[in-house]
Amino acid sequence: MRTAPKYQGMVVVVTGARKGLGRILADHFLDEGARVVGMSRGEASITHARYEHHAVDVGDDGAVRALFAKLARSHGTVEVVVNNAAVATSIHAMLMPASRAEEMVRTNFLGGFYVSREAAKLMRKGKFGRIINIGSMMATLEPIGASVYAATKAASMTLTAVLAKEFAGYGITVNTLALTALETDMLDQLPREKVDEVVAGLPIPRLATPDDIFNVVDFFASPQSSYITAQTVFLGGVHS
Amino acid sequence: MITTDVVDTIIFRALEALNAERDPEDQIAVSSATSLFGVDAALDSLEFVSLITDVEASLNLDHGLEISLADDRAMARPQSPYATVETLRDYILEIAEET
Repeated sequence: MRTAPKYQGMVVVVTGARKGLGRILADHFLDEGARVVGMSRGEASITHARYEHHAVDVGDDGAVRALFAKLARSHGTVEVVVNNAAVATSIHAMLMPASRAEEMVRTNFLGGFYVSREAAKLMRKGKFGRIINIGSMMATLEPIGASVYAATKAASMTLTAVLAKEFAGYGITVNTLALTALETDMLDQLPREKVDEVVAGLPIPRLATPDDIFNVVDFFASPQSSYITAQTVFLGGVHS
Repeated sequence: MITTDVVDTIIFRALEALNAERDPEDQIAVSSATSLFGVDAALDSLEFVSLITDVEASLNLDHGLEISLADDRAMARPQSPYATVETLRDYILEIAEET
């Protein structure tokens, strides 16, 4: 017998929802009954009665503010936010173009901050919120070529810890799921032999699956996880 | 155009919401002179955050004004626009006029 959908009646925001993990998560939340608000720089790739898409760059503070002002009018609140939007450039630091470095800081770090800040303003009224940041094993494995990307993910973990304190009084939890490699187009942006080398060195040497990710996301998002905040869960046996 | 009275009402309502969470003997004075921010503030830091976000939300939802009260301009002013209800109201009117 199928159990009741986990996210029935909830509004879930997923950034970077057009493709890759964001798309996978948006589909998961839809399957579990949520009304999903997807954000990405590109147009929608999902058509569903409970899905709405907004072509917004999370690194654009004004655009993020405007979107959440709109969501306040249309939905009143949001219950869950997954800060997934990210870009990656893997290249030796001496060769890293400033534009790529700045884009990673803006999207991977500031984007998560802007979205969390605006979401928390809506969540606090309902005294309930779940903010889930998608981190990376890169933050702790610190591989060559990932200088800025790894740093943005490490910064995101620190951001998680501070926001968890600031938002705790409003019933909002903030946690990070630090991924190992998942078979998505993000992986295609990195040298495959490097990825294979990193995966081979993991305590559980395989790629992550969507179910590995849903397991932790559902745990963080659960109403029963009200006493779980400021945490980072690494997949695959990676640890800080 | 939003008026002085309307903005005062929005801020007063936000202060009353804070008072609803406080003990009867520990109520914040609801007046134009109420100190919101700084050493003499009648609000603690979390209440100040709630006040600003409540006022922003009301301006957005009730009056269609998408205004950020915590922008660079507010932070850079030698006289904080958050000092009292009156300075906050004047600041809101000033930026509302520009939108």
